[in-house]
Amino acid sequence: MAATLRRFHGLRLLKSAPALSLQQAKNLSSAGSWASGNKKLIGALGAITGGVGALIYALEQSVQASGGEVHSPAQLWNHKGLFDALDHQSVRRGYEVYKQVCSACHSMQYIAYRNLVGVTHTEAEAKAEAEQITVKDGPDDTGNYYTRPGKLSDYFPSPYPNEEAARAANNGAYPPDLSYIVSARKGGEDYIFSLLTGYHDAPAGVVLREGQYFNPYFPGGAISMAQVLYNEVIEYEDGTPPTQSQLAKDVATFLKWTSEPEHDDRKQLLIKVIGILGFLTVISYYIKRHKWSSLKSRKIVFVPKEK
Amino acid sequence: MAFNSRVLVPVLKADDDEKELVDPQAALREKCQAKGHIASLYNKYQECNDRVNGKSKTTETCMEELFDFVAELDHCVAHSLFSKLK
Repeated sequence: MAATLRRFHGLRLLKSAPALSLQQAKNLSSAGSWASGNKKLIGALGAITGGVGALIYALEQSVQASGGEVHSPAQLWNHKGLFDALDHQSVRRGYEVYKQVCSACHSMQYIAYRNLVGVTHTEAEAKAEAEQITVKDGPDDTGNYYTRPGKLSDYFPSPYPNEEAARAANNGAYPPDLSYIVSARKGGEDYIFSLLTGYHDAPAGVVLREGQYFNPYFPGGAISMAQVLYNEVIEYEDGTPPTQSQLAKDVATFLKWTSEPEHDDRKQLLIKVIGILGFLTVISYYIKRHKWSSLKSRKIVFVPKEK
Repeated sequence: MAFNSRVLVPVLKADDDEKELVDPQAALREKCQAKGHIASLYNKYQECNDRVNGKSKTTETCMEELFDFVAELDHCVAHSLFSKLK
């Protein structure tokens, strides 16, 4: 009698099991549909983002492609790497080129002789350089202006008193100030180098006005600056052979320095930052693992009530 | 009797220690211009020059051909130029 009742009860238990598994299957299917919807959304977002990125890139390229000048090729500068400093011997030679060639037309109004100290010249050398110029100063205690030799705090002299005088002397063209020219031009020192060494005969069909020359790296091609760098236009103090490309490289390096005087300091700071942040990252990783160890190593066990 | 009119004048040879300076960029440009695709670009540029100079009423210019040629030439030169400079 009791055995029969137990068997009947067991039969009911067996019957209820399929219903439970059916409900679980429903839950799974609805969860699956939710997940697949989310996947579609994420996929669509990804595709749209990729498309927009490609469109922006294509527009950028098309704008560059339609320019009116040749793009300067990338040269292998000493300071090109992430941790590479400027070649200060080249900067010093570049200063010589600027002083003897470029300064006839171009000003350098934001560089003083004191900026050369510790970079290209010693203090005594920089003072000697400064004393070669004549500076209008004053007024003195009787109210008169006077001229004196330059000193370290004086800025490089300008060849023209103002822009109008510069334009009048250069057939309407203005020789730009060279202090920040490398930062001001797309391509930077590559552009400067290519411009100085890229003079070419004008192609057929191109008409140049008087006082203009052809340079394919200059926008439009017609440039008012004649070619000024030839082999041996100056003699280097350190005996380097003054070929045209050497002169152009050195003056471009010098102009890189005048545009970014903090260049070497910035690269040095990067080295320090990498060292310090690396150390701190290791420490913070350890602390994170330590703090989260209890949470990440816990185990959850289900213990049913005694029936 | 006439004196011997032949007078030997000593000839001083100029010193050869000052040699001609060769720009590595110019040398590399000549070397690169001999390459196949750059030579064909140069020929194309020259053809354009001849064509435009041969006509009197055209508005065509050879700017594009020159740009293509100069870009390829200097890109070729840039690979090794700075390794030859100090």
